[in-house]
Amino acid sequence: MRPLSPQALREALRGLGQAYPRRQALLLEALHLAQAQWGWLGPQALEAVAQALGLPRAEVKGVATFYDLFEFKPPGRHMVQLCSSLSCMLQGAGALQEALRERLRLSPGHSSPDGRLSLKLTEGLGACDRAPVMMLDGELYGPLAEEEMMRLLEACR
Amino acid sequence: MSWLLRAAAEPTLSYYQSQGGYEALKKALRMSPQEVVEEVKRSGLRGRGGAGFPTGMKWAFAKADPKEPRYLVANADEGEPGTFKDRFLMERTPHLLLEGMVIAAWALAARQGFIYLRGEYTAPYRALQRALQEARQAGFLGRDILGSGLDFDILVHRGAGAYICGEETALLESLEGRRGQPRIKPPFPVNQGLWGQPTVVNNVETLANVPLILQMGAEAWSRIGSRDCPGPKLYSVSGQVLRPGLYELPMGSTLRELIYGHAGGLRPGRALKAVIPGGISSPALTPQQLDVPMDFPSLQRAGSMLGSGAVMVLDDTVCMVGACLVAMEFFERQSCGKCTPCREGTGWLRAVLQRLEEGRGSADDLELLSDVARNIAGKSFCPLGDGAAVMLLRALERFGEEFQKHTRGRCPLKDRVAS
Repeated sequence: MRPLSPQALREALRGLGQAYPRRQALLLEALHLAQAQWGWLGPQALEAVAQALGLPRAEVKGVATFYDLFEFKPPGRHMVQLCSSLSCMLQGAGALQEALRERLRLSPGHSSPDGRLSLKLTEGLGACDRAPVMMLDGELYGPLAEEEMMRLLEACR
Repeated sequence: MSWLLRAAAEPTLSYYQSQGGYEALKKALRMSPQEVVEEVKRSGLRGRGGAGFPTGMKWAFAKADPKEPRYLVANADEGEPGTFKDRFLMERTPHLLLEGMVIAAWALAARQGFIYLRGEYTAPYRALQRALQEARQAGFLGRDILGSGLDFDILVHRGAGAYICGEETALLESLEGRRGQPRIKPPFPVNQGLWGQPTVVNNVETLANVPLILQMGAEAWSRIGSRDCPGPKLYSVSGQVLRPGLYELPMGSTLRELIYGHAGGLRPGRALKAVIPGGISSPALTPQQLDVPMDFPSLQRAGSMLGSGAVMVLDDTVCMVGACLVAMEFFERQSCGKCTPCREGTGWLRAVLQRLEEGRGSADDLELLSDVARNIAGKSFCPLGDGAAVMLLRALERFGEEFQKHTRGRCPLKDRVAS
């Protein structure tokens, strides 16, 4: 994939700039854009963000690593976010975690051996009435039964 | 009954206007900013994010600070486990939030507003972007709104996954592009918020009530709900009930009414064990406490809190030690690491709960839990650690027998959090 240059990043952020009196406020949005482009935030991506906003690299890295949604190693091709909050645990999310581990060798924070899927446990997706819930590439599914989850994940190539 | 959700059938501007949307804004713009603040004060509206601070008073504090510019921030970082009311509002009736924000901007003379939105909320992000575009085209946002002279616009600022950013000072840090670690208060955001300027941070549901107050008038609005805590309230009900969902009821409706009248009660053959009334940080109540009105003062008297109004129902298949463990794992992961009592204490509590749950605990562990919890509460910058500590201390008091059993061997219930 063609890397997002600092110039292109600056261009993408231009429209937002007027709302904020300081450039650093654009940092989270810049990191989101960079991650959307590369799929994760490697040294190159962090460097591009630092240059685009004129911020020290250490500052960019320090801020980025505070937040759970940023990736610092290449993820699988599809992102599975399984909710691990109490509402979902009460409705069987623990068994779904177990199924992912046993049937797909997918554990939290890791990718499947074939590189298709990455699993992240999340702290709630704001859909506790549909527990247990999963977000697959940004789309919500729930209430989710084990077999339905397996079908959805097997359809991911 | 439908107040906040009266136009939730469709998210479009045309539908919203067909239900009387943006009429409250027109009314507000005919009043002076000070009159709008007075009207909100008179309504008795208290913040719906969890703290229950009087909204009109917060606005008045910010207005009393002469520094300019002033900022308005909608706290849409709905991260409290069990809560899904703001997501619903933003996806289904986004213009209600926008209208509330424009009225607040008029009252505060703010020129720029931000919606700090959870990074996980992809669908609300799309809904808000569409609504903002519609509102700009219709002249409800931008320059000289409806000929009033008010210039105001709103930007959606996406968070990136951090529970702590729901705390208002951590949110401001994050909005400024830093790690989301809380600031010490005072100074309060109304005096020194974004970039040192006076800033009002209001929850989404709080702002969504503002158009209702203006349209109905403060008196009529305050006849909904409890006398000392008025208005409609969105209750998120989840856990082991037949009909989990979002219910809009007058503030102060009882837990019994909510669980058995609206959420369908428990599954056949199950008995109620506990109810968490206001999100994971609020102490669990026992089945004997079901007649407590769900408002700020009543729940405080009952030894819990309304929080975000997220009700989690636990039936008798659930192990309380296991439930506390799930909660504590969450607090440990989401502690921002700034204050030692919270950072270290939540980890300790999690470890002790874990060995109790696995049958490796001892009789001394219960004393250890309360000792560590008492050393977290009140000793950190923000309420995250307090929530973790108090939630556990109350569980030890109210469900002590179950904790005792765990000191004598493996969990008597098969799974730690069964379904």
